[in-house]
Amino acid sequence: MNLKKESGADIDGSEHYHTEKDQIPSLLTVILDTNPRAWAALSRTLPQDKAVANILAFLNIHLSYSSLHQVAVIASHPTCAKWLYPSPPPPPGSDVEMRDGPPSSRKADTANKYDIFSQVEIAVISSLRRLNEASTSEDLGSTNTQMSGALTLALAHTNKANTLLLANMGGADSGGASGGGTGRGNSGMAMHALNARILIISVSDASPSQYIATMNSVFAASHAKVSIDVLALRGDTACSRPPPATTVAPAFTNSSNGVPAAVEAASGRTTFLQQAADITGGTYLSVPNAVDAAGLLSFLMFGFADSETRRGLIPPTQDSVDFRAACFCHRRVIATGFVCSICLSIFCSIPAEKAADISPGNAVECLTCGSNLVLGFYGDKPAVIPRRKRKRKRGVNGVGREESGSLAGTPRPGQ
Amino acid sequence: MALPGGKVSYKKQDGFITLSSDQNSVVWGPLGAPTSQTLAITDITNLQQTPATSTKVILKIIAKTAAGEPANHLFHFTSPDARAEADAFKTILSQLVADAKSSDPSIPKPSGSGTPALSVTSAPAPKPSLPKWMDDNALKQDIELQQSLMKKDTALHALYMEGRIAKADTVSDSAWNAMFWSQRTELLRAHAIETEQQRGPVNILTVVKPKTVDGELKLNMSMEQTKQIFEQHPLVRRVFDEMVPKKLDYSTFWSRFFLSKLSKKLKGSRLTDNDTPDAIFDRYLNHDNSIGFTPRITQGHVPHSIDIEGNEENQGGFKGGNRPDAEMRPGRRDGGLVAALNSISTKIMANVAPSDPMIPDGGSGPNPESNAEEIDNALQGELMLRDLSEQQKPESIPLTIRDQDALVSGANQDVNADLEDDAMVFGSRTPQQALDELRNGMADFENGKTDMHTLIGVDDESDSDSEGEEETAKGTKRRRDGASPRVGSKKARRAAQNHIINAIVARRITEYGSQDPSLVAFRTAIIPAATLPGEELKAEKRARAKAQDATAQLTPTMEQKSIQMHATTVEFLRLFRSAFHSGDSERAAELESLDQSLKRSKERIVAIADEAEIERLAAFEIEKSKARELYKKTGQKIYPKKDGCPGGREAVLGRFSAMLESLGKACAEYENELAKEGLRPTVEV
Repeated sequence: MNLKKESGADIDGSEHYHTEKDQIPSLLTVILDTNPRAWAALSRTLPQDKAVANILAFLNIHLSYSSLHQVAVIASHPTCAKWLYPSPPPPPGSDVEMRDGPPSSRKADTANKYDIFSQVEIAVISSLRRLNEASTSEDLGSTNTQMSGALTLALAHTNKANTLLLANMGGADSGGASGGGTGRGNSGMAMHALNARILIISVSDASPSQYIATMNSVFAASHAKVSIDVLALRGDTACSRPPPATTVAPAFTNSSNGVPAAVEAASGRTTFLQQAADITGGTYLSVPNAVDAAGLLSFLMFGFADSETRRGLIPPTQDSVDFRAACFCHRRVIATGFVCSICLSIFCSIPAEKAADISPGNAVECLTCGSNLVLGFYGDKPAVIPRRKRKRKRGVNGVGREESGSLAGTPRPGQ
Repeated sequence: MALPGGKVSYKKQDGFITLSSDQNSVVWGPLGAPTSQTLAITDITNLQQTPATSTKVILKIIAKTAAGEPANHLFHFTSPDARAEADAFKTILSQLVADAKSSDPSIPKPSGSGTPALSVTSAPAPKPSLPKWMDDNALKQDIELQQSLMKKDTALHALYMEGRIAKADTVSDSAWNAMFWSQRTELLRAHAIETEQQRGPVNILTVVKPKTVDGELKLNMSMEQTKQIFEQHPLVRRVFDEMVPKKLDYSTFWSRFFLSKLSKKLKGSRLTDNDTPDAIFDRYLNHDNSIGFTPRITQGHVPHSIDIEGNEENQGGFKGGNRPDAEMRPGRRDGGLVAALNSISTKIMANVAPSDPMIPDGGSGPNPESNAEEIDNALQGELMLRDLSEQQKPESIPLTIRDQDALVSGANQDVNADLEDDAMVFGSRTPQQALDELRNGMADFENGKTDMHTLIGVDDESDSDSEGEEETAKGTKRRRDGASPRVGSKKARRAAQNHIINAIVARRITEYGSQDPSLVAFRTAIIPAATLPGEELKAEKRARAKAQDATAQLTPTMEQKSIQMHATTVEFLRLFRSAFHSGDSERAAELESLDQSLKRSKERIVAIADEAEIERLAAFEIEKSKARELYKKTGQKIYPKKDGCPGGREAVLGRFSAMLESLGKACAEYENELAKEGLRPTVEV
């Protein structure tokens, strides 16, 4: 967006040149994973208050680059996704006392601080306190947070900020909504008035149950050219290795007795966030050990350059990306599965009503679109010893999904 | 069709034998009397006939009686044409008996029998013969095709040969061949289709180019070309027949022919007055070149809608009012150019079988027997100008998602998937403890007045080594056990920096390759190793060395070897997986040999690693001797580093780490399955 000639001439017939501002506004949305138990586990190396202080410093740096820059902070909590900054408008008709903090006390207390810094600080801290106060131990049953909801909020906010900027620009330039404004703003995200990026600071696992919702948000972000950066503070190398970069062979395990679900969840980690960064062209950075989380500020400042600056740099993003998906039927993270050829739904096991239905050549029904599918000769129980005639017991694969939830031959990630 | 039968005598009584109209039984009755005796076809067990040399024609039918006993029935054919009648009758009867047997469930079917033909009168519909590229088995067995494909695709050939060498000894070459191609039937099919499509014939006269060498005309013509000339130009054949060898010998004939006006005309060139006259060939100049010549395409039925000749006949042709067609008339004297070209095109096309799907079953040519009207209609349909008709609605298949909400919300999720061992993930705190801790933790923030500088803990003046103690002395922060650095301390920040730099280096290598010269500069420049204190320096070096393993340099030859090895191993893994998961017990033997191949692949990777190590040591020796030379000459001492030489075991193994893991996994899975089978007592080996 540089020098641009407006097509419409003014009343006096003079040509009207319009120069965009030198700086393009930039919106940085931080999604902070606020899973209380995860933070408690990290408290030895990086207590939450310290982390918040570091993040605030990072936000301040972003804000101080230009007065046009904006920030937003969203909390991804186990039960909900909440705005930390900007504070949401109070619900209509609510008590005035509910609104603790910012508006009344701000002016008096922040004489020594750049106004916007303290606004962000007050809003974030008070919202976070409220969030922690409001949480009960019952809320913490889940090990992961509402990341897909937070991403949706972030994208909606980005879109809103963009639209507002476009409307302002259109209004100022052509002096009316009916004139020059029509051609520019109405295509929504197609026009980018600002550079937007989302930074996810993650401490807990990606939830396979949110796989579809998360990936939908990620593709929306990619479409809107919003890059998603990820900083995984819980060293994922400590608990599980990332899968081999070269996935030349599908990793299969035959478990006829074990319950694969737990193992899968453990190796799930931040799979979807890795993909999010990869798809949107963001940086995925994971702290190698939990101890290293103490260098949070360095990670933030060194690892996540502004989207403008980034173009000329080699990002420190992770070399290999975990491209596994969660199946649509049980939300297990799988490396190899079955895909419906009609609607591309992913299944960890053959979607059959009865175990007896599972056999090569038999028609099965896709759980998502209901198409009749025929299974090729695959996924059968391995026959390692030649036999004249194989007896078919109930189902070729031994056990059905209803009985134990594990099929022999269920694809599982490489361990 | 009349039912077969004949005059016979049965038990000395004259009568008539025939088949019942439903062809379920043999009927015999005395002459002039109503039907008296029947034999069901299904009861007949055997038929016997007197040999052709015998004067008596007797058909013996052996049938089961109701009691299950075999009974013989002798029919003596008595008519003058007895032999022919008996033969015809027996042929049909034996066919019926065979059919009855094959459809009888109590009698075991001979393997490979087709569907029983229920009616004798109508010939079984000929099976549409599929082109060979539709048949996977034919493709897999077509060695010639495979060879030609590999000749074209050298990479594939390399892979094939490499695999053949590397495979387990128990696998025969042909078994390997079958395994290899069973994965690639699509490639074979594409190649078969590609090679099947051959170029049609061209005007052969233009291909043969006589050359004048030393004033003599040299002809370089193959037998095949001669044959084609005769095929395309019946006139030449006629002249050849008439002239050779009586008037001209073989070679003179051809050399004179190619110089003659006749050859120019047949070729389609324009004749000029300058052309050398030839007493023999000029005589034939105006002879018809299309005698004894029937295009295959018009041999069959030509539907009236496109039969121009018929139209002409029907409407009176150019006599009927149209302007006389000067150009294309037969017998035109000046031998029009268009006529010549047209004539040669016709001849070229003459031997081409029509490819139009004239017959609904996609047959190989127009079959006059088949429904002519149907063909006419089909052709009429083809002549229609379809783009003038209304546009058809696109045929789309609606995709219905059954329960979208459940899909997005994950309602049908496996409950187990989210549950983890809490202690493993979040330490020993209960949720309540965790919450309390967090609530207290926020105390350091005062409304907007917080001193961020102290809170982020960055102290530029601090000495990194003494930071830990300093902190406890102040007593402002929780006491930690030594290992974990304070948030924002120099040590912590540096660790973060190093981590990021390593990530950037790794990324750079993936993008620009490990040979990138500026990479080395970057590595050494950005963190001067000397600034790190002793213990950390070592750890840092170790970490960096480890990070380099997968991307360390290899010499180009070793790199190439590694790539080839990788491709071969992937091939084996693919074959293994395909056999392993097929569940086909017939492939168990194949599986076993593939398991061997995988084990050997492991050994080969190690062998390459060893080779690389030797290479590296050799390079290191050279460096050392160079250093000695330098020391002798100049007195300058340099210490070459082993790390500086490309190659090495670790570089190879690093590259193959994922592959080795996959191999190990595959073998382990196989052994696991084998162990399971071995425990079962009912295994039939």
